[in-house]
Amino acid sequence: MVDNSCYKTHSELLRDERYLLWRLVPEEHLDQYWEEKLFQYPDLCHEMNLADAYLKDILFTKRYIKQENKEQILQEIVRAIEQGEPQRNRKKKAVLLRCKIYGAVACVFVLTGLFLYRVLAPVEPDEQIVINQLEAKEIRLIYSEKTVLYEDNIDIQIDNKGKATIQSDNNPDKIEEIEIADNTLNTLVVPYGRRSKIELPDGTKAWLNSGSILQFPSTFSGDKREVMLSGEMYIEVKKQEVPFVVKTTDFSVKVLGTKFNVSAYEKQQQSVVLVEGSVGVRSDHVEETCMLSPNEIALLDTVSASFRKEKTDALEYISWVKGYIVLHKTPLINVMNYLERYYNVDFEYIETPRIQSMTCDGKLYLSESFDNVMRAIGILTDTEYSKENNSIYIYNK
Amino acid sequence: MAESNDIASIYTDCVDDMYTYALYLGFQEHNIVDAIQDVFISLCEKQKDLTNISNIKFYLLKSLRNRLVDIAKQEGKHVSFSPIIEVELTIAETYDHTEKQLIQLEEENEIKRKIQTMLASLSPRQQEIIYLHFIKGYNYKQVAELMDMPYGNVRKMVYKSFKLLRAKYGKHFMLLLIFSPILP
Repeated sequence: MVDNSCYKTHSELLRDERYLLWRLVPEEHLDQYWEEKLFQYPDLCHEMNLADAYLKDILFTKRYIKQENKEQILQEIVRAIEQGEPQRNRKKKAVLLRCKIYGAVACVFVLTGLFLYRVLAPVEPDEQIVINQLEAKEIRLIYSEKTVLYEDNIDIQIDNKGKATIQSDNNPDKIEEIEIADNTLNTLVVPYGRRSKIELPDGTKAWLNSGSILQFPSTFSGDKREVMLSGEMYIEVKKQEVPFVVKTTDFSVKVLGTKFNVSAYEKQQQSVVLVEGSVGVRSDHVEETCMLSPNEIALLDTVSASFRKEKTDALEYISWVKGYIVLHKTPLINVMNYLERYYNVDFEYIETPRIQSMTCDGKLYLSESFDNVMRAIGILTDTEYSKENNSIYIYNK
Repeated sequence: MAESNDIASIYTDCVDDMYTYALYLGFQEHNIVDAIQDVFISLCEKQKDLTNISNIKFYLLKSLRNRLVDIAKQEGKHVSFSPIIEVELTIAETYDHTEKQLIQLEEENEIKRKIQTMLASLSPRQQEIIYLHFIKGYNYKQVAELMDMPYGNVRKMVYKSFKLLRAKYGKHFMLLLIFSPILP
């Protein structure tokens, strides 16, 4: 054989058409080629398994039937067997089944409505102004009563002398320096569809997600380092003797030096997920502190105002830092709410009950192009959409 | 009750595979739900003793396919096998994420796009063969039975797919062809 290709990783295998063809449409002379390769490099076997798993995953991802359908069908089957039911009644039953599903969906609508009504009601005037800034296009940095606007996503670094270095994400050569006065409280507003990174004077690094506001002092002094957050942030706290506190409207997180994600959006499940180290989470209305270990999530129950702890995969919660979100049996409607916030749009669903009841698994890339994301959603749900300013109308094909 | 317990565990084992297959066959959710229900009920009616059926999942997939084809005929709709081309969002069976991270994101997207366009250049039936053989692990005899086709036709289709893909994507094959005596 003249060919002496050597494969070390499964991605190399996946880039080779000979491999793809061999797997998909096996033909004898390809067998010969790959058997020789395997004989030459026995370690290749492991990489082949990885390549196969990947290939299967992207070609024909396994899908899961909705839990409610799964249970309903089984009930119908068992009932039919027990009653020895004649064949012709079945169609009727199927229709009945569908009615039940729609009924359940309607209930969800009503409950969601009640929930939104409850959380949306009180907004104080001051908060209202800041919230309006979230609708803007530019990221804004507010310090010493001055406001600077940035069109690109930015990376801010503040040193301990109050000097801020601001670098544009799209254009790394564009660097700006500003002086921030001592002892002032500064605000970083990251509007919808944007992300930003900030390094605080103590060396702590924080990534702010779309639609978030962070208030932080120019220098940390006294017996604690404290910042205020609304929205979502992944933070890597620099280890120091002085504790670091993240305050939100409803709770606070106290740490010495760790990596964790805080999600404190209105209208959404609020949570703290720990990646490394250890943190204490405390609701403002309950005395008890909830201690977290890595890969644990504390979920805030809005009714009892207390935290509930669960095991989780922390990496799923911080993937947005890299520009995608990981979904695991996530209701599609939650994903849609996420996209509404992320891209600052309003979805109007026009007779598309499926969207209310689907769940999804996998990765959703938060593409800079909203249309890319919507195209994927369209393929998945058999829907199309049209745009009118910030309103997106979704309807069946 | 023993019987319905058995059917329940068979159901739990097979329902997601049946659902996946039906989706790729191009059917709508409500048809799939109906068809799965029909298949299980008629299985119980016809076959009181489930232990007589050797490969139950195979049997179920075949029955489901037949039932769906009937439904398509009744509704006069044309449906064809097609994988869902997911550009950004995948609805994925998750395998080890740490391994996945070995492939960088952009590269991953590039590979993905290529494989998906490769597959898209094949006919629905050719794609279905790949699904049943490569993903579900059925041999070509079983694939033929499942798809209600003569075995020879399945082999011919595989060979046609191979030739087509080779012509389109096989720039690496030139050497292989020259040195391989068994090729036509």
